[in-house]
Amino acid sequence: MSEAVAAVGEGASDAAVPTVEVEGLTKVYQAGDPDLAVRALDGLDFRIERGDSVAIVGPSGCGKSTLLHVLGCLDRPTSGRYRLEGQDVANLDEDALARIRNHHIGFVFQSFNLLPRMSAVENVELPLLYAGVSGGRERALSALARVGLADQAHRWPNELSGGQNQRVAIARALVTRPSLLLGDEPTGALDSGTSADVLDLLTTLHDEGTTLVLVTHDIAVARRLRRAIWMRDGRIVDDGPSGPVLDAFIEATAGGADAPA
Amino acid sequence: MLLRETIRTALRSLLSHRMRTALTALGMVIGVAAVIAVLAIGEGAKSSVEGHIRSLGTNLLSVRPGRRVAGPVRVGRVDTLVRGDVDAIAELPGVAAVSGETAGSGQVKHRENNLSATVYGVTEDYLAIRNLAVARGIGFGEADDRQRRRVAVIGAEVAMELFGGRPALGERIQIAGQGFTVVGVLEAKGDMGFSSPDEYVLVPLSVHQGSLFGSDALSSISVQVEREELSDEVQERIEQLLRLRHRLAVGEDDDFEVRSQTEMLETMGAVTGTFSALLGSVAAVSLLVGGIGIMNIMLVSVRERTREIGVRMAVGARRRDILMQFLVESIVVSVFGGLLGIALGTGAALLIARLGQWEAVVPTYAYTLALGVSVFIGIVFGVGPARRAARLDPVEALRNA
Ligand SMILES: Nc1ncnc2c1ncn2[C@@H]1O[C@H](COP(=O)(O)OP(=O)(O)OP(=O)(O)O)[C@@H](O)[C@H]1O
Ligand SMILES: [Mg+2]
Repeated sequence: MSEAVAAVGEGASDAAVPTVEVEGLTKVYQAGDPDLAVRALDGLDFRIERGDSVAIVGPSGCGKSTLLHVLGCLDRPTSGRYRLEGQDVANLDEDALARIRNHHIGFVFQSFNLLPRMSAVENVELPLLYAGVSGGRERALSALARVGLADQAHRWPNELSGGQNQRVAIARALVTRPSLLLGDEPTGALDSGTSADVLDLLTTLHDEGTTLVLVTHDIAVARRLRRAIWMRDGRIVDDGPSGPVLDAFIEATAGGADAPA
Repeated sequence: MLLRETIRTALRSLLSHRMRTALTALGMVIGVAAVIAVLAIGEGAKSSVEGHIRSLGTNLLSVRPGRRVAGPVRVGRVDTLVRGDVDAIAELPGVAAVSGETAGSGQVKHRENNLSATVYGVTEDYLAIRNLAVARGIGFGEADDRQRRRVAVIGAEVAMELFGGRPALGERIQIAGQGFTVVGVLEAKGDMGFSSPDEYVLVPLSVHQGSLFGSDALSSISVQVEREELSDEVQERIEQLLRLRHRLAVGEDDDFEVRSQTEMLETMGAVTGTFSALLGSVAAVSLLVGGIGIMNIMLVSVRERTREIGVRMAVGARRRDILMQFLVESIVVSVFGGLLGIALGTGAALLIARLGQWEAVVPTYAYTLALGVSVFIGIVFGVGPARRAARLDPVEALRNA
């Protein structure tokens, strides 16, 4: 599996290889009775080029989180192919997936998911501990500086505001310099001002070269990204530059079919 | 992840639930304390028994009145042995020396100092047979017993209490209100568990049986055999002789018992063995309860921290990292309990030693063993919950509120 990881690493240096490439990506949740199977992802095909920024939109239950989990190697597709930087990861074993999550993926959640009994800098250092690298503390501190929280490094999550918590979470996601940064409604729990700050931070990171994929219900957030994928019932309805796709999505929603939550 | 980090994480998580951690560790505390106490008492009893046997001298047979049924329990009359038996045994071939002994308790006084002691009546050979040396004075003379001289040989401890370091030899003491002259002070032996010669007050048997306590019965007769190989033979001769002297009919039970040193060792071993087995089962049950307690708390902890597990997996923890984290946590609780148990067990052992019934020595290997047992329990009862944590699905775990 270390070979597989090494192969992914090599892929990163090849600009021609897309960061994400999925074909027929399917995730089926089987709830006992086969008739009740939920096709949360129903044969998706798309690529995400290196350095792109993508918003995933769609009504509740359409499979956005499921897609993000599969892209983030937290979950495995039922069928279909998934290449992360040219390397097939759909069939890797658990340890190899853990290493890919550690080395190549940064995950930001709606509810921050910081560990409450660790200071900000310790939370940020956590991925580096699992990576087994030395000098983790310095790297964690510089990641915190990058999100503008150098002076809050030793505060506890419950001493920080929601926006600050999410910045710590972003620092944790980027501390391993991942090739793919995933966010599942990263601004969903924040008020609009804080939300804008966090979004500024994410787009700055994107401008610096990180491939960014965000699930969001907030059209304003989605518009800040270059591209949008509109999903419904596990399928892609539309995919393209965010402006036109989001306009079409809003129009459909206004018609009552896809009311955003 | 580095083991150091894992241990730090475990400590932090345990410290955030101090009360719960303490209660969880309690079973281990009791279990390990019991283990330590078992080993300390076992070791102490062993050295006591050895010391006792050493103090008895070699090639010794002991004749006691009555009959033994189980362990130290005796039945039947206890006044069957008399002075005449001692003299008769002395005539048997193969017998090197004999001493008859009896005991009574009384106040021993010198001026304003007084103490209550067990006063033994003994015959002349007693000191030689029991390997007791007189540090000062001459001990009993050949005529002391025959002439009913009021002389006494006292243990080092008794001399200290009565005379406080001043010379005791030739001084007068009062035993049960009667005047005696000190003719010897025994060499100090130190504490040997059971009864120590340092606490002895010895007077001639004839005086003890006569004016002092007025009882004919002997508590025991010690017989020294000429050579080790003769032991069985002499034992048999004594039995025949005493049956004859006590006019026991054929088929009637002995009203005395002759035992060799090996048999005495076995009896004492049986007593300490029973005690050790009892404490040992307390230890086993406590450790089991302690282990189950740990397992229970670890299961609760895994459930409470499901989301944390999900987060750790999301940032790159492998299943074995999660397994190790919870396993280390359960080992830490267990070892924490074990360390407290070692302290408590050592304290209990020292207390038992001070109460004086048993000597208690905690052997060094007991500490290693107790720690080993703690780690073992931590692993055995922690591995189930840890595996449950490691097998969680990352997405499910993250969804957990
Ligand atoms: N573990 C599971 N078992 C069964 N069905 C599941 C499971 N997880 C998700 N689903 C189903 O899969 C579909 C997609 O779920 P998903 O969470 O991806 O939706 P979503 O687009 O993220 O919705 P939301 O906007 O509300 O977060 C839903 O119908 C959901 O009920
Ligand atoms: Mg979702």
